[in-house]
Amino acid sequence: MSSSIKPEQLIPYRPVYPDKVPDNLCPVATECTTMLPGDWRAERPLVNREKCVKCATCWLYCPVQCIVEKTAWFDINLATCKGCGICAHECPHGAITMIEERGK
Amino acid sequence: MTQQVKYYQTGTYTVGNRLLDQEQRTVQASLDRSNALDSGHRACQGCGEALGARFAIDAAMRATDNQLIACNATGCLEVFTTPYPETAWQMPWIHSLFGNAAAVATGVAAAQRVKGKKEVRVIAQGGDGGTTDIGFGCLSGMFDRNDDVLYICYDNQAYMNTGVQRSSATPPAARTATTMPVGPNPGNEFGQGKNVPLVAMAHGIPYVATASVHDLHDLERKVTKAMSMRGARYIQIFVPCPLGWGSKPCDSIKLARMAAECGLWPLFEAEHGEITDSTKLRKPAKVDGYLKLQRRFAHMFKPGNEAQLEGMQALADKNIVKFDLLEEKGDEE
Repeated sequence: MSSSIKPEQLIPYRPVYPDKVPDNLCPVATECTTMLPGDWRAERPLVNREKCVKCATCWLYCPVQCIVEKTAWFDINLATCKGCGICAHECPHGAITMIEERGK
Repeated sequence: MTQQVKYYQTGTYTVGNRLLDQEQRTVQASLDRSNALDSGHRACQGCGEALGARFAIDAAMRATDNQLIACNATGCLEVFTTPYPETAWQMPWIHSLFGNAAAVATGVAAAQRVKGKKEVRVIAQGGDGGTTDIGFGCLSGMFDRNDDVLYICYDNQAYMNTGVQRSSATPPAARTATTMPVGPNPGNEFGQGKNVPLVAMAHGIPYVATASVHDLHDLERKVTKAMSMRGARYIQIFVPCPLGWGSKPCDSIKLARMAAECGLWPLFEAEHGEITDSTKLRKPAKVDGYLKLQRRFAHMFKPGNEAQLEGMQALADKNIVKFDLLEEKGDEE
């Protein structure tokens, strides 16, 4: 199992929302912060794509919404994942395991 | 013959609820959720408050067609989302003082009323310190005037942002920086503190509810229901705090679930001062499992402190009777 992070997993978080912010109420910040707390992590979630049934439990329980939906499984956006491990603990199919980060 | 849908098929164990009709699904299950609280904020690993706030606000935004303004008391939620000059909120959001979020929200609601924008709704939110201690006067005033504001309290049971000091929502026997586990009765005192949902009910306001981050569908339903009403409404959400409770970040959801299952955090709704509904427990758990996962209760398991453990169990049993949490036999099928 390779522990290197693939470049496509480090896509910065893209906001989906700014065009919907009502602008007639008060000034609203629509430029997103560039802070990516992904480097806080000590452990990294790894999705077993064969076990994932797309029940969306991880998608809902992730406190930083770093779960990304793929066609047949859910993946993790490692740019924002803080490595809390809630997804791995709550996954009803045990499809997510936490593996230790080993540097860059 | 129509097939009876069993509880667990629509409950939280399929939290995605993608089997349900579109309008019944969890707001968060859809890809175009509004993400009012964006990622990239500075909450600790496993923060329950970040999760609870996003669900509550997103549900409210869907219920009000995005015409929503949030007032935020000082506290963890404000500190981790908006370190100047950054913000993680993708919505109209105002920060008030520690104690006056309810009063500021009242003012915002009054301004919208005067401007004739009836569709614009207001939410005030804060932690348990800013709600139950410091902001209690303003909160009670808001209930008294029945202002059109939904107040959401994220209850992590102490002042986590300033270094885990005791608040009036801290449970008995819990260790905090100001209630250290020393002396004959270690930790927080028994018989102190306030139950603010009950105090809110005593004001006779249209809607009071408690929610928890493990039952997200229930949380969203309660927020949506609250937004369908006018007048002062209050929701208290149980949000585990790994830092202050000394629990593992990965156990946050589990802790919320265990607190509800043992009866220490009853989930109920009340309208105009009367309890209308409560989430039933199929089989109440013992409090030990919930307490053992947290370092703030570690002293309770030392010899000589058995009375405290019994006290907590008695508290849970009392809640079960008081809020009628036991499922009636023969109710199923």
